[in-house]
Amino acid sequence: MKPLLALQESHLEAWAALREEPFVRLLAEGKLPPAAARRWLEQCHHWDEGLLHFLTCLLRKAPQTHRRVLALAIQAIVEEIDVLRADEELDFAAPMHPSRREYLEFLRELEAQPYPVAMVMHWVLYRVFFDTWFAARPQEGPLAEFSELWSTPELQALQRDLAVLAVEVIAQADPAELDRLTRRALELEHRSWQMAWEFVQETRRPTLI
Amino acid sequence: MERLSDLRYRHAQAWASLAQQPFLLAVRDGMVSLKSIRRWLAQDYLFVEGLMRFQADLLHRAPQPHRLILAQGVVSTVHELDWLHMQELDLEAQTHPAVAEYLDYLGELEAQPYPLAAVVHWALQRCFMDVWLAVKPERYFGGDSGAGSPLAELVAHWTSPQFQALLHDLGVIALEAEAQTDPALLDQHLGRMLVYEKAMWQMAWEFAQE
Repeated sequence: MKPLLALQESHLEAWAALREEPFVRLLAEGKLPPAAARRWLEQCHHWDEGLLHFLTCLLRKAPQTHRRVLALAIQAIVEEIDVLRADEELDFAAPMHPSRREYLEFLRELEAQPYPVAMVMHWVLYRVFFDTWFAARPQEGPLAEFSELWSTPELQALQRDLAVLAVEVIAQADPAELDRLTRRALELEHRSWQMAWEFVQETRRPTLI
Repeated sequence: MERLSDLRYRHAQAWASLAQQPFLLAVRDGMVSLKSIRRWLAQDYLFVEGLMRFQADLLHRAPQPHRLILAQGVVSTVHELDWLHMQELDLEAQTHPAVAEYLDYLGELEAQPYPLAAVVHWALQRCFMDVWLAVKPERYFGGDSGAGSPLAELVAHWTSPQFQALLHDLGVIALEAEAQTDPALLDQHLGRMLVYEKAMWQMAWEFAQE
């Protein structure tokens, strides 16, 4: 995993700073207001839909030896959308937040990249998110069930397999391009957590009525 | 599934006549060389790759309740490709015109509304299985003389309870989608799909004769 860790190392400051986002700290304390958690999950649903599109595009471009793992990743994301859709309190018609729209546009940009770049960036995206999530690892509060959902042995194995695929192709990707895209991904992650914090603040805002 | 049976009934002649394709009868009678079988499987690989791309597109366009079944369909197709990849096939072979035309058609279907594409997806899989199960050519390969045949394992995949269950579930999806399609347009597409299927078996027969 050395080449992937080197990529992570070269962006370590921005990567690790995500753990200090106010929403993430609240998440770790298990003190997230349920209304803010719901709004965040609604935006996660938009993200998952975009990620599904990205993964199907990746699968179409992948060499045969990579397809099985990608097909399983597609199945996993479909199951995650199922979990979100089962929550009757979520409003799936909620408008997409501008930062989410921007992130999905980035995914579309990645779809146009050569397969090795897109594959490594897929690893970056999930690694950045899960590193942040598991630094907080909420055990209480409205999102605690996701800590359990995302730490199943099957999902852990899938993430390891996806990392193996990324290692296989990283040598074929332009390092300068990977560097640029990783920087952009970290900015977008930062904005995503800021969006989530906005939801918390709006929940806390006193009303006159 | 009555409406899907009606669909098959409306195209019964073309659908059933595929089972009389000389290649299948020759395979059943043990008259096709392993070399010809491999040439056919190499073209099949190219087709299944295109089918996988079509399924990936279909999955992303599908309503959420259909996606898990389609995702399992993709996993199954990738599994089949894995198996084909492990055989001694010439995967650099030029795409035969019959396969190229069928793949162009699948590309065209990607631009069609989801319900129509979902029904044709079921129909082409069902049609292939109906033909195969009607002729049962694997009796030759699965028997004493064919223990090592490349076809025996492939047939084991197609006839496994898991694959049959998947095909059934794809039928359930198709049934829901069929209600949202224009019957005349659907008939037109099924007619085309059957022509492409026939051309694929004729291609295989060409290989057997060469």
